[in-house]
Amino acid sequence: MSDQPLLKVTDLVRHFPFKEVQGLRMMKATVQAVDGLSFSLGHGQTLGLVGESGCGKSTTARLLTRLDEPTSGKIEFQGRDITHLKESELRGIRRDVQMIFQDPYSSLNPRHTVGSILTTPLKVHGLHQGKEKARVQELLELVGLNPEHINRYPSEFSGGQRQRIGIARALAVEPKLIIADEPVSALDVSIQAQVMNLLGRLRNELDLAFIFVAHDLGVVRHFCDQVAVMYLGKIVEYGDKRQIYDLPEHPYTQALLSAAPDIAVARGAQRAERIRLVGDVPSPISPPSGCRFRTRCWKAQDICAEQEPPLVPSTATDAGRGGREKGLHLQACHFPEVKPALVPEIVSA
Amino acid sequence: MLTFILRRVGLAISVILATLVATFVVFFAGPSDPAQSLCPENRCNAERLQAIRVNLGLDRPLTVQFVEYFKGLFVGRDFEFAGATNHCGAPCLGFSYHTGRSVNDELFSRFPNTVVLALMAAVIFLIVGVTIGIVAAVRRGTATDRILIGGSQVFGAIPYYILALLFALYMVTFWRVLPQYSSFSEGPGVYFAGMIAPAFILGLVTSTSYTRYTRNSMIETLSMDYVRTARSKGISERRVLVNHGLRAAMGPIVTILGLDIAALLTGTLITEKIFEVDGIGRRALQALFDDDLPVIMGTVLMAAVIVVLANLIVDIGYSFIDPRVRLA
Amino acid sequence: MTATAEQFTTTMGEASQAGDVVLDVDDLSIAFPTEEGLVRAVSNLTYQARLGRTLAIVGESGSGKSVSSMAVLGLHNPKRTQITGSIKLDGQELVGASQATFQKLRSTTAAMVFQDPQSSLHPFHKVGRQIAEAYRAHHSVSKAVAQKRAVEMLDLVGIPTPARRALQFPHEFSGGMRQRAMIALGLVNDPKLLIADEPTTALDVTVQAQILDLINDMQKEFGSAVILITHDLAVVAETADDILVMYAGRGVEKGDAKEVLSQPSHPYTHGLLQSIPSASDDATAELKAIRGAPPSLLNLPSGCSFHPRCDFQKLVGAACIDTLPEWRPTPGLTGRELRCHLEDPVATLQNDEGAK
Repeated sequence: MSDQPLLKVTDLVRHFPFKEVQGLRMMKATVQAVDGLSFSLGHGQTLGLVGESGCGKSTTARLLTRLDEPTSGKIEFQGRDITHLKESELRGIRRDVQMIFQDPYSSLNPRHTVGSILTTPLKVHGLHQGKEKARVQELLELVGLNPEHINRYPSEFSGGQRQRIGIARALAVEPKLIIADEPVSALDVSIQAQVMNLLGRLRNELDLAFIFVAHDLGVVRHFCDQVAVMYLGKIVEYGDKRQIYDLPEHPYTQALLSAAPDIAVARGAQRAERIRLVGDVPSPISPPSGCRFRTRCWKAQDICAEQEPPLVPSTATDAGRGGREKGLHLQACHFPEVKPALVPEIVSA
Repeated sequence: MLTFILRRVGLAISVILATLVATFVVFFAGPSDPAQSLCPENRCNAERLQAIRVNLGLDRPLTVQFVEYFKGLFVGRDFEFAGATNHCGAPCLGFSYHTGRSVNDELFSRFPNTVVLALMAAVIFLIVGVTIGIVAAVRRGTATDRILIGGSQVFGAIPYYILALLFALYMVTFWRVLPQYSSFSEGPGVYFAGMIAPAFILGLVTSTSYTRYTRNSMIETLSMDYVRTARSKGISERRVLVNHGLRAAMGPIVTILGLDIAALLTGTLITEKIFEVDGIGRRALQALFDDDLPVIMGTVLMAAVIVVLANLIVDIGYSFIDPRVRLA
Repeated sequence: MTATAEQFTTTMGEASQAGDVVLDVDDLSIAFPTEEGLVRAVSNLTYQARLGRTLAIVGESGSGKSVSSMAVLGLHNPKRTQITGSIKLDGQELVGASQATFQKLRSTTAAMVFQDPQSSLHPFHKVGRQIAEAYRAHHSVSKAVAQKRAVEMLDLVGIPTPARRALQFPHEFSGGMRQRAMIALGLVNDPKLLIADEPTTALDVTVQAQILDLINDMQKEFGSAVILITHDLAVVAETADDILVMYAGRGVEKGDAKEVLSQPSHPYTHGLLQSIPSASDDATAELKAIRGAPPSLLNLPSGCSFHPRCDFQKLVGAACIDTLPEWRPTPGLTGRELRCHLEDPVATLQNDEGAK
């Protein structure tokens, strides 16, 4: 692996300004969808973005594919600054970075055959000229669809099959990085596993890097190497998935892990502690001052309202787990504290 | 709410001003010559025509005429006519070229007739249209639905002037089932009785579109989750339909209703003409034939004010129907 | 039961107690005639719900889990639905019952909480009024008394400053609050059965946990039977007492929830469980997915509906294709029933897990 990361994001910000009338004055307000995001991703790595509604994970996905332009900050892909490239200059990036969407029903044009849906990206990028049909059939086979179905319309496929078509479309241009925004959450449980397996197999065969946006903690743990936990537009904890799931330090990560229902409970697994947050996630329009999680946090002190806690390397994990060799573990809390076993564990007698 | 009204009043004024300028330009700068329609060429020579034009003030530059007109609207103006000076107080719409009466009198004496006709028609089309729409929506897909909707479509497809003409001819003139229009001065009884025929046919034909709006809007709301919730509470089906279904379906209907009533208030040309109702619409039509510019300007201005006001009322009304709408 | 709940408790008939069957569904079939043909949404479904217990009805989309419970409240359009079999709610037969019968039992004997609290509350009515309306429909009390009851219910489901909140509209509530209000609405007439249809699917994880806790607390408070309809087996593992697994309109396995999820005996349950990644499990190997996709309800497979996707059909042979398996006790397990032709399902599935 080269020293240069595939993708490097520094201080990424996306604010959506809008006008609101309050009394007699027109107030300018902003939705702080993403507010100061930094991370990097190596070749062939998979980073999971998890969090609840309003945390900015889907906005991040759109920014990274440059379907949307950041308010400030920097996105570098293979060392090249792509933050403010114009549409005409994005062509190369569009080939290297592809997106898979949540809803396999609305993301495919119902009036186009599968063949034409998959041929379009090839033509746009001038790939496999004259042999497009063969390539399309190869792609269909790659994602586990019958290559003879090239002339069918999306409506003739089931939800899982449509998501496979979406995956084939993303792979058509041989990307290096795939941004997957909740790729399995619209699918039935038995189909989810098929699509997860397909993505996993493709990742290995084609050496793909992934940004995997999901709310399902089980799915993220299964699929990702690194995990970034987001809350109201900021990363609150980042690390190797073992660090995040087994040794979470940020209270929000802990609450999230503790709240997520887990099938292992049926097999007698138990949580060391049960954390229940109060209320809902606040609005990203005027997020709380200082630490954004403080309004729901059981540890909140005065300092949490005054100072925003920076995302800093975790001291506890470094000391306890052999430090950086295991990968960077970052957290943003004024009072970090490791709480193990928030996901249910089988307690041996 | 206050901000909303202030902003809307500002908007209303600019809309009315724009209408004013546009109408003025079209009619005063256009090819029409009021002098000629007052006195056709075979009777008046060029000299005489020019004298009429000078008398009416039409010889002056367009901008001067407009400033005069505009001034009249806000502070009133004086007219010199045949040696005498007539003062016309604000808002002055001028005097009719043909009758010599003040346009304000011409319009406001007829406006009540138009209002009565419009409101009577509105009551009819609301009751008939909304009721049929609800019944059709509740019995969607059944024979009842198809008959009601099919019937209303056939009815709505016949040109209105033919229906109104036939109705007037048979019900009023031949069979005399319904009385003819007579003015209010002949007594309220005969006056309102005379309004029944025009209001009935106008209301009935307009109701066909309300049937359609109501049916579509009801079908949409009846499929909503909150209607299912209402039903699951164990309240009566009538309550489900009215308090939950119709309540939500009323939004789009009220919007259209406001604009329709505004349109009726600005005069229903065909109805008033056919049933000889002495309303705004008939007067405006006459003014067009006569090149009676002040009356035309007056009716257009009045229509603009009514439509703008109706829009405002609809928006405020909507905020009472839907609490999610914040007026801003 | 607290004083609040007791004060408003309606006549519960003869002394009901925990464990009594409130809902007895027997051989229930529901079909919708459409232009393309008959959609067989539910076929020969049999199950019971008991006071004081939570029954989870689990299945994927099209499994018939919601359709069957909507029938309990008579919420299907009778003109466009064919229902056969039997639904006995609190001893009363509901298949073929009149709308008047349903109107009386809705909210009082059985109430429902729906998936999306955003769309399930009327956007134009104040929250308190919506709850009060349900109370007044079954109690001849003044508006003021009903409103007071609504405020108490909002308080009970953990909404702070309930008197003020009762006067707000649903859009002024957060998602979690709205679902709490829906639960208050569901419980206002102290029903014996509360059906919660995917009550947390539209909510965030941390809010989902609060709502599931609330449903459990309310069940203890009111002693009612709860049917939890969900696609999420993890939710079942954490909240339910009993489970009914449905596939293509039929029940395939039922029993104690934790037992079924830790030791499934039907190949479909087994397949579902193997395809779920757990947050407490680091395994990154391929998930064991069920092949294929659920069948069309217009055209169900012959015999056992699951046979085209079943890995064990070859062990049984033609019976799976020809004959619909009947409910039978799972060999070797107590309190468990399944519909499968496998001779020794438990051992077969365990071997499969070992081989993995």
